[in-house]
Amino acid sequence: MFSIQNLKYLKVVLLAVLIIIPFSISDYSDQIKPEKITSDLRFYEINTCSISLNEFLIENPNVIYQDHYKIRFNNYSSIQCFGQITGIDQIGYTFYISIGTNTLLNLFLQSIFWILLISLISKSETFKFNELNIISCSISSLLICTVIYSEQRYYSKVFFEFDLNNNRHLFYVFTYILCISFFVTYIVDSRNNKLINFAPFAYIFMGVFSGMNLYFLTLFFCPLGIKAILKNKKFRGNFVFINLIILFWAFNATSNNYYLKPDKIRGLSSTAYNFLSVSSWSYLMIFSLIGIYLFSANKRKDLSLKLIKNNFVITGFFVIILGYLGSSMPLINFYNYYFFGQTKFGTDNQNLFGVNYWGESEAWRGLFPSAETIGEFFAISLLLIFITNKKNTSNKYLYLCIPFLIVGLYASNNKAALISLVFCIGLYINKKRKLSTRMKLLFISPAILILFYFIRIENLLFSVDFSANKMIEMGIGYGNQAQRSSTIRYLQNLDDSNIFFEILILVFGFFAFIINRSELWGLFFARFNPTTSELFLGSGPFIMSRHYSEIDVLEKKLYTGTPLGFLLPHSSFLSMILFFGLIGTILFFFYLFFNLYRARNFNFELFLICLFIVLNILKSDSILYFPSLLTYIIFFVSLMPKSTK
Amino acid sequence: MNKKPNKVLDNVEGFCGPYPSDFIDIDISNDPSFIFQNDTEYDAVTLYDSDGNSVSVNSFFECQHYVKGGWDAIPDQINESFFHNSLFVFSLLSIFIGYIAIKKFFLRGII
Repeated sequence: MFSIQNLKYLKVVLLAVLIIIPFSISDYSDQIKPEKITSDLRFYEINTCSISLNEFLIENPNVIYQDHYKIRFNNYSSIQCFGQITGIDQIGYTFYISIGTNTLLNLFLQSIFWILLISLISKSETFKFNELNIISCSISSLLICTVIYSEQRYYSKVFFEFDLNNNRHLFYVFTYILCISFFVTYIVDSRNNKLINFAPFAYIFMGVFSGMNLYFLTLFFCPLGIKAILKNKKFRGNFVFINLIILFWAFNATSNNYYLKPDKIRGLSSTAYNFLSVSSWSYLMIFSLIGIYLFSANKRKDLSLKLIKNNFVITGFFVIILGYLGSSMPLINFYNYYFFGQTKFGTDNQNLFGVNYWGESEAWRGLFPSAETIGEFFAISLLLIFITNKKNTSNKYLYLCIPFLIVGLYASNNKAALISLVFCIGLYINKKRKLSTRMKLLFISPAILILFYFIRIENLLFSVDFSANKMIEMGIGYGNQAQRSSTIRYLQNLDDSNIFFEILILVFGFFAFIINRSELWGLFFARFNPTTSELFLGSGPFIMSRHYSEIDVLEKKLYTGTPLGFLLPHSSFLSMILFFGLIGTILFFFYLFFNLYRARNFNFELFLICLFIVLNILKSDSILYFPSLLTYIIFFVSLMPKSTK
Repeated sequence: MNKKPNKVLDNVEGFCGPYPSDFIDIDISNDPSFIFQNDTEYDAVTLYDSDGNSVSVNSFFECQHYVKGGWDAIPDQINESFFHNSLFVFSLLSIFIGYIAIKKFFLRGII
């Protein structure tokens, strides 16, 4: 009889096969043999789709480790060309080696890889297969197909010889997604409740399908949300309200057709803004959010700070090691991207402690797409180590990883994360030791000193009028006179508005100035162009295509003249106003602060982690990345009192 | 217009566009010196044979003649179509077998 242990070995072997075989397939009987790579690239220009990546690497092993080679995907390739070289280009001293992959085949290969990985976690004894799973998976697959159909401008560039206006082709996509969704639902559902403690691994296994605007775990959370609505009468009642708000968002998108190249927020940002895309994407996101909420709520009793800390530490260690290896070895960078499902290739900056022309530290992001978010991750890991210090005596080897976390936090250059980490540690010591006022000051003063050091004293010497208005000034500077956003028009005439709003906005502007967000938030307001109703109700969850396309702003930075690039709002608070409007955002934060206030007495450790997160998301984009969104929701839901489940 | 089997008709219309209302099909198999006349109102279409050779046709009549002779899509398209058909069957079978396997073996702790 095949034992469970043998099955695990078999799965590991299968994982290894999945890594090696797809990039080794080629016609080895043909006369075309790979040549040494030189500046004369005629051979590789003529013989496209004839040499597999591994065949090429055997002849050119230096490509594995020399950093002037970049191995890149070409998702718009035929299935027959999968894993083979589709071309090599030389720009300056850098060689770009293009490897053919096929988006729809990626869907299968990456899914099988991740499903096998999850299946290594032990099963639940109480799992019962529910027929409703198939129905919810079917609805979810239909929804994803509609999203793909509505985002044709994006998908037409990544689906090879695939016509999304052809019903047969759409049916293919539906079947593929249904198949994967069915197995993902089964495999995640059947694991034991301790699965919740594995959430930090999402920072390594981001799980975005190469070429697609879709996260792997959306195929689990969306059916879960749909199942809850089908099963639960209370949810169904509230669903009427959700339908109305989605109708409002979609109605506002009628007769528009904006586009956004999703770049590093691929998977959590709609690429199109029209009636169909807004309605289908909104349903997909809301079902997924309900799914994440229910997943967290159902499993929160099994959330163990000790276990999750261990996983944070292990993940942090690998983020640094794999990030560094990826930055110097093209092959590792390539495999990191594909098998971890990254939204963006890992950094090629090998200097963790680099400084720029002005002597400022440069942020190092490793294999994660955002240095700021990974900085928060390292800080949470350190905070967890500190607050669970006495409780963990089981694995002392984990403490060897602490230097990696400190280096990671330093390299990410996330000053806010460092200050809030010191602040939270101060609060923890105060709580546990019941410090006298003098000692309190002693422990809080490092945080204050670091805060002043980063803000820089000279920045506090400017007039309040200058500091508070800097954000508005930047917003005006980045916009153009002929096409001002409604927000900038309002802010330009701030003196005419209610004194309360004027003070509120100036305080916000001053806050932006001292945390170095005047430019980024000014840029956000230069683009933010809602109608009155949209200001209150938003324009749809994780939909930024209109925001980035409607209003033209300068293409270069105001003072340096460098290209502006794709700059995110750098505030989850502002992103939420864009998505859910003022009403949604205020309600959310009010509820969050209310829960934080209530929880500070009965679960102080979790309270500190959530406080850290709240302080940081106010000035970071972390909700736009699935790993951080998932982890933060898990922490917030776990903080809620059980009666409100 | 002659009656044609549906599949051929679908192929012809798929590659060449809809049949013109005044279309008359002439049998040219016995005329080796037949020359196709260009139709200035017809957008040229490129067709391929199984070896990947291509031909550009300039009238509906010429196009339908080639399609009926076996010229059709790019070999890449045919390959993709074959792979997608295979993936489709694989997906359906996986769901079916997976469903039975989960029902039958899960409780025994095998999968």
